[in-house]
Amino acid sequence: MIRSSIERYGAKTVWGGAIVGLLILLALLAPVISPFGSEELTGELLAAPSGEFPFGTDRRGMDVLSRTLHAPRVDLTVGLAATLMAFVIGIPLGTIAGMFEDRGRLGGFSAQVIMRGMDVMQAFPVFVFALALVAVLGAGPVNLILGLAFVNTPVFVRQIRTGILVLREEPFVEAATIAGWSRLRIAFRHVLPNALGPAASLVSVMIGFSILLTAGLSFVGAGVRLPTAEWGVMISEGSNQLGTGEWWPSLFPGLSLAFTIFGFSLLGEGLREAPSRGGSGTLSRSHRWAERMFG
Amino acid sequence: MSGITAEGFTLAIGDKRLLDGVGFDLAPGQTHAFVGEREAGKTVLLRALVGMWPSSGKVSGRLLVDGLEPATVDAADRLVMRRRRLLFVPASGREALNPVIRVGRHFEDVCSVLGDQAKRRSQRRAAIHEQARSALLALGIADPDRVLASLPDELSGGMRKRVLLSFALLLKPSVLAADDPTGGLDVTIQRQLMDLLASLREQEGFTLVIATQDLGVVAHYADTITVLDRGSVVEHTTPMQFFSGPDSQTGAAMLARARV
Repeated sequence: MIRSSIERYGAKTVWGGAIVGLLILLALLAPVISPFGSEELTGELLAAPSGEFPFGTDRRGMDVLSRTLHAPRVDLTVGLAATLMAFVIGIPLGTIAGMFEDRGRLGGFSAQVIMRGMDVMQAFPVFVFALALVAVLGAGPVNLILGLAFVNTPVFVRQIRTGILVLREEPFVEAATIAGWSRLRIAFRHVLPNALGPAASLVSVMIGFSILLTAGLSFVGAGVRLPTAEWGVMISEGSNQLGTGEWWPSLFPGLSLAFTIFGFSLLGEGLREAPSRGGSGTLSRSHRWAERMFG
Repeated sequence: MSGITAEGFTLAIGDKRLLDGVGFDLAPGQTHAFVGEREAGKTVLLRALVGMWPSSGKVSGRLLVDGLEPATVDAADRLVMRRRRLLFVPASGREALNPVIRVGRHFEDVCSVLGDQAKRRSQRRAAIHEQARSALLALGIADPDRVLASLPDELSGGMRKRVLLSFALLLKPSVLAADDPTGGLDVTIQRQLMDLLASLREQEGFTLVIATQDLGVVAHYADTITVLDRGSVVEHTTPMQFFSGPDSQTGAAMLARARV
């Protein structure tokens, strides 16, 4: 079964998908399979990994394994929500920026406002920008999602706009124009669906990126706070003990984080390459265009 | 009258004259061919009939299509003209159809300009698909249901051309302008398609205008020939006269090349 799906979807998609699937499963099942509660004090402080505590315990006596298993409930949720929100906001903005750039005063003005706004947003280093946003909004998962969605939006706006700029010269767009359809209808019915493929394959990569940002923000204390189980917080908590030889409170959440981001990147990469495998769907069609254009 | 008349029609972008003082008179209900080399202005002229030129283009002279002047019609008339009177079939059937929309939906889009349709979406759809099925059957497509359920990329080049032409059966235009209708198709399909176009024209009574480099097509199907060279009409004649000895150098050169 694995072999045939690898042939069909590519190894990267299959393995990336497997990692992501496993993470989602663990996040869902965490309360059932964890030996302890995510914030439960076991009374054993900084116990080394053993049969009872496979990943050891941290300096408050919380079980590292249970917390590592619970963490994706926060990290995945924040990453997914922030990315999807950015995607959904990016679609109309990118479409308008691409389709109306050279369309009269109002259209040109809107496109300019959107793109210069994106320039301003991207002029700040992402991490610092997110940090500032969360600092203003106040720490907490909901504000974290809003902040991350905000800094991720320009990426999708640009991706969609680029696709639209290429596609709007296609003869079928001209055909629709001749038929007298409104620019807005043409944009969302004829052009956008053709530009969604590449943007959709970016979603996976951006989820991984958002999770990394979440952990980073939490690490510096601007995201999720203790005692919530979250990888960044756990790494930050454990880093105090690294110097004294208690490596386990930081190492396991760190590995999980790396593994997660690896999984999402792999899946994103796989989806991006998927079109060349000749499957069906939007992705493969956008590829066929590329093929037509570049030989 | 649904003919096409041009008098000193000029279309310029900046200093470049894409069409330069074009003049001719095309009778309704016949087949007219625009021939010429690359860049002669065939496609530009065909598009001008529909009123499609860049917004920076400057137009002078007169061009009258089916009683309307594309350069000066108001927005409402232009819509009527483009949707009901004139059907433009572009050179590449592949790119004229949106690759992510199934052929059936294309028919729904095309028919939605016709008005007088059932209110309920499902009824409307069923009615349109019924019409589409018979149109496709009339164009010699044996399994219209498969075609309607296909994406444009899943069809062959000849198939896509037929789909585009079948729109003519639904829209019943008075002028059908086909850009290079035989381009990119193999010879037998070319023949079938042109026969189809000719019989459609007879049956529906529209004026057929084609732009082509293929003199074989012209010889078989055209009633008049308009030879273009660098945006100007250099010869406007009948196939009989043209093939017995063209007046223009361009025409002679094309004919000499075709005979090789």
